[in-house]
Amino acid sequence: MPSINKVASPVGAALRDSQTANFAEADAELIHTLHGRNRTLCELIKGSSADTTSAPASPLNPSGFTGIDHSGPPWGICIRHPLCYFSSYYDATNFVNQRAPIISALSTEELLFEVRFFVKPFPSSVRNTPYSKGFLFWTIENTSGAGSTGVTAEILDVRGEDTIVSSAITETVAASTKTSYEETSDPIPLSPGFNHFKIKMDSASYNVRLHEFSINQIKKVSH
Amino acid sequence: MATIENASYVGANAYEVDPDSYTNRLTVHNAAGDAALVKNLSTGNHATQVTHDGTNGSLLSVPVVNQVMPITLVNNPVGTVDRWIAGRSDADNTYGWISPIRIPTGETMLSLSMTSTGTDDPNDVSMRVYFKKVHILNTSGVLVDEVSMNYASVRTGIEQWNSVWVGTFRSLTADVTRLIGVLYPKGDGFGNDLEEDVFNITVAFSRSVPTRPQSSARTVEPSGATTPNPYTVPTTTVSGSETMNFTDIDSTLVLEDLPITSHLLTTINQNQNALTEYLTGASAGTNNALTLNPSGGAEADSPTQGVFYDHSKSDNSLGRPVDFPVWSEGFGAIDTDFLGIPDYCDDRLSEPPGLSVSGALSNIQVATASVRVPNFPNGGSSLLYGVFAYAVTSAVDVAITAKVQAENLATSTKAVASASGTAAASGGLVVIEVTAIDFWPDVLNKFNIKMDVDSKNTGSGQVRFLGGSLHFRRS
Repeated sequence: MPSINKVASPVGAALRDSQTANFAEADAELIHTLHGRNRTLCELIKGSSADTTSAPASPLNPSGFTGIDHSGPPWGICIRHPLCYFSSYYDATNFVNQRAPIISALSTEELLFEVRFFVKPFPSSVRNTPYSKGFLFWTIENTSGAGSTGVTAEILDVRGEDTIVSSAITETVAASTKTSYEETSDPIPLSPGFNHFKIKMDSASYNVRLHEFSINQIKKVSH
Repeated sequence: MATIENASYVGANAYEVDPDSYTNRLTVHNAAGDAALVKNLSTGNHATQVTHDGTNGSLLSVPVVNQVMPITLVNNPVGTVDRWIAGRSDADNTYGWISPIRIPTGETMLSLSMTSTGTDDPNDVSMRVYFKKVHILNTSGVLVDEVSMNYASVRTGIEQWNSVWVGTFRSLTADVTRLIGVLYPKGDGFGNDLEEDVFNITVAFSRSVPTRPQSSARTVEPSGATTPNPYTVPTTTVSGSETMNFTDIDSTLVLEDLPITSHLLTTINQNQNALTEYLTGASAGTNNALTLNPSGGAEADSPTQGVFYDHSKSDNSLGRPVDFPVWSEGFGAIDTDFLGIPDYCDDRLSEPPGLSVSGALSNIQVATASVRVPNFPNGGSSLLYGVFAYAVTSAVDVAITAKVQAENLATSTKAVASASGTAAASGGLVVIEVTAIDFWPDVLNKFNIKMDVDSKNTGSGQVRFLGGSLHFRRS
C-alpha cells in the first residue's frame, strides 16, 4: 500500500484574512492550507523533505536543491559578496615584483581583462533580482603629479567588439592621488552560472595604476 | 500552560484535511506546532542547527575563487609585467597558479576552470599544455588529490583564440582548508616555448543547473486584484525597524471540546505570513510589497536591526553562522617543492611578490583585496578567517607573520588581526591562519594584507607570498 504523504501547498499559498475571520465558512481548505504551508516552510528552512517518508513537495531552488539558498526572493534575501576580483599593491619598498598594472594614456594601449567568472544560480525569471546586476569597484592611482585624468572602463562582449554597458564608467583621478570608486550606476548584466566578457580600461591624459578591482553583488531583495 | 512547539515536523495527511473528515484537536494543535518549529529552526532556537551544509539547509553554491588577470594590448611599455604567464619548465614541476581555499561543509564536488591562450595552433604548443592537472594539497603541501585538466571550449578573443580548461573533483573532503593549484609537468621535449597567458581562474561547485521549472516570487499584485495587501503580516517595531512578530499559541487554546476559533486560525495564518516574508524575502500571498521593513529599508547597509533570515546576528536570532567564501586569490607560480620560482614567470605578474634576498621585513603590504562583505557578525563575534600561503628558502628557521586589517571607503580602519608561522630550515611551504578578523559588515572593505619576516632570514632568503583566502566559517 502506498504511504499517505503529508499535504503540501505552493510556496505562494496563503489564506486571506477574510477566510479566517469570524463567521467565515468552515472550509476544509483552511486546515489544508495551514498544514500545506507548514510543510513548504519547513522544507524551505530544512533544505530537505519535511516528511521523511516522501520526496520534497516544494520546488527546487535555482541551485537545484530544496530550500532557501539566499539567491534572491523567493529563495531568501541575498548576502552581499564579490563576484570576481583582481588584487595587487604597489609602493617603493624593497619587495620584489610588487606590482599594480598600468592603465596607459595612449589611445592605442588599453588595459584589458578577459573576465570569466561563476555567479551562483539565481532566479533569473524574477525581474531585477539582486544577482542580475554586478557593480564595479576600482582603486586607481594617478602618479603623474601633472594633473587629473579621466579613467574609463567599458564592458565589452567576449570578442571585444560590442559594448555591453552602453555608458562607459568614467572617473576623474586627481594628480598624485590614489582613489577608490564603488560604482552605483551602469550595472553589468549577469546570468546564472558562467559569465564571460571583457573590461577595457583606459586613461585620457596620464598613465595611472590600477591597484585592485572587483565586481560585487550589492543588493539583497531587488534592484 | 505551554506554548505549542513541535520538536519535529508532524504535518497532516490527506484524510485529516478531507472535507468529510471530522476535525481532530491534534490536527489544529499540530498546525500551530509545526509553524512554531519553522520559527525555532530559522531563528537558531532549536537543537538542529541550520547551517546550509546540505543536510540542514540548502547548500549556498557560492564560488570559492573568481580571480581575473589583466591583459595588455600590443605596444604597452609595461606589457610583460602585466601578464600572468604560466607554462612548462624544463627542470621542475611547477604550479602555474596556486591559492589557499576553504572547502565549505557539505561541498564535495569542486571544479577549477581556467581561461588561457594556446589553442590557435592545436597541433603544436596547445597540444602539449594539455597535460596540466589540478592538485588539491593540504596545508603542509602534501598532495591530497589530483585530476587532469580537460580542454573544454574555445573562445574568440581580440587577437587570439583562447581556451577554457576544466578539472573536476567529485569526492573531496569538506570543511577543511586546502591549497588548490594548476600543475604544469616539467619538460617540453620539443624545444618549443610552452608558455601561455592565463586570464582568469574560477573554482566553483560542479553541478548542473536544474532544468525543472522553478517557482518565482509573486512580488506584485496580480492583474485583476482589487484589494491590496489582503494578507496581514504581523510585525513589531524594534529600534525603528519593523521586525517579524510571531505569536506563540498556548496549548490551552486547543484543548478537547473547545471550539476552533477565528482567533486561533488567524494567528496561525498570520504567523505563516510573517515566516514567509522572513524566510523568502518575498511578500506573503499576493501582497504587493513586503511588510517587514528594516531600518533604512531592505537594501540598507548594515541595518542596526536585521529583520530577514540572513545570519546577521551574533545571538543567532536571524539564523546560525554559515560557511561562506569571500575571496581567494593566487599571487604567483612556484615549483612543486615550494623552493624555487619558475623561470617562465620572471618579472611577470605570475612571479609571486616578496623577498628575493636575506633580511627582515616589517609590516610590508603585499596586497589589497577590496570586496563587499556579508552582513555577518563582526567585532568580537567575527568568524571571518584568513589563510595565507608563503614559499620560504631561508637557511634557518624563520618566523613569518601574516596581518590583515580592514579599511572602509572613508579610510577608517579596524584592528589588525595577525598570526605567525615558522618555516623550517629546509624551507618550503608555510600556511598561516588568521582568525577573528574584524570588518565592516555589508559594505565594501579594503583588506590590507601585510607581512613581517624576522631577522633570522638568511641564505638565499626567498620569502614569497603565494596567495590568500578570506572566508566565514560556522564556528
